[in-house]
Amino acid sequence: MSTGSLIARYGFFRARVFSTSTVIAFLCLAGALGATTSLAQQHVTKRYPARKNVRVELKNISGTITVESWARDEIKLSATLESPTANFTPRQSGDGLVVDVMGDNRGRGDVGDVNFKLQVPPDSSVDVETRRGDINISNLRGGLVRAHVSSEGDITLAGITASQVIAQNTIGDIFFDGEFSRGGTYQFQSGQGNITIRIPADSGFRLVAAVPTKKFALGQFWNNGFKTLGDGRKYMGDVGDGRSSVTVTNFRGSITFLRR
Amino acid sequence: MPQLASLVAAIVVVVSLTTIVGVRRWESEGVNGSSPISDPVTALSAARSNITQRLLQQRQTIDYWNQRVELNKARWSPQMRETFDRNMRVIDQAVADSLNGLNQNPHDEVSEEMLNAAMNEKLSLLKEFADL
Repeated sequence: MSTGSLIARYGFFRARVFSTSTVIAFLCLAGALGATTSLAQQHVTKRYPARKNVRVELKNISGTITVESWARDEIKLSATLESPTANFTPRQSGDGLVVDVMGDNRGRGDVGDVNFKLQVPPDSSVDVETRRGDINISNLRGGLVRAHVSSEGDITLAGITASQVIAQNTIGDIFFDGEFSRGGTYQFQSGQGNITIRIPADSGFRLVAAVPTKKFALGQFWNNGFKTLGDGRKYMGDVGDGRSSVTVTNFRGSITFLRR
Repeated sequence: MPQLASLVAAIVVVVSLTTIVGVRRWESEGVNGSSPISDPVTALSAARSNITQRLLQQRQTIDYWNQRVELNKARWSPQMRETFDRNMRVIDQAVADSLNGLNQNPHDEVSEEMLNAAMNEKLSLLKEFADL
């Protein structure tokens, strides 16, 4: 075997050892990172028997809240807790379930996000709030849907036919897709974001909308009975028989009505 | 005779109270501008004075909650502090916009409503974050 051939084989061997070590090191690092991530997160799942028209109340500090309906007479609560882990003890009362992360951690200051997913019967009333984070609620037809983000987070309410709806945030979009019930009340307020309301064409409601930016689009729901105040910053009027009451306020964003 | 005396005394008390209430209501109507004020400058300054008075009262409450927030802020995560400050700036801007509108037209009802809503929103944000 010539000297040149030996050098070439030695080089090939070194290259293989190097690449194998690199792969092993990468796998170790990925494994360590995975272990760290799983250590930093905790998962909790609990189930509670419930009536058809149960009331669910959730007060979170930070994190996403998702509420969905399902065809079961029980509540399933799933939560992912980031470090430093927040404490919470769900309390089941006669008419529902209360989860108060805010109250259970008062004075602790810095706690990690808690991302909640709640599955509830379709006729449930839901009252959820968080200091920070998105709220998504879908397919509910109970008495109340309240979604309140104290600071920033988008609110999406889809497939909602509740008789009272309140959605409020400071920074973030609000999207409502549902129906206004006869005699129902609907309030939407954002400090800075776009409010979009998607409802059936035959909806009847009395509207009071205030939007200093004048970015207001009522689309096909507009009629000549509407009163414009403050040079286009406020609108009042009835659509159809005005059977439900709708109040929309947006300080620095837009208000748009769409036909479903 | 004692019955007559007490009846007279009762009449005197009722007439006095009615007079006092009547005079006070008349005075306050004059100040608040619900009765027509012929001088527009006086009406303008009365409206401004009302708004200023209400703002002062609201600011006292806001100051109290602001102090509580400042005390607790050190415990918050940097992200939570940034979130709070960013959101407070948005509300303060809404307050400033409404005040600008009212400076241009003190009788602008929409600006007044938006100012009230923004002040309530500010108070609500402070209270909720003071709990953290």
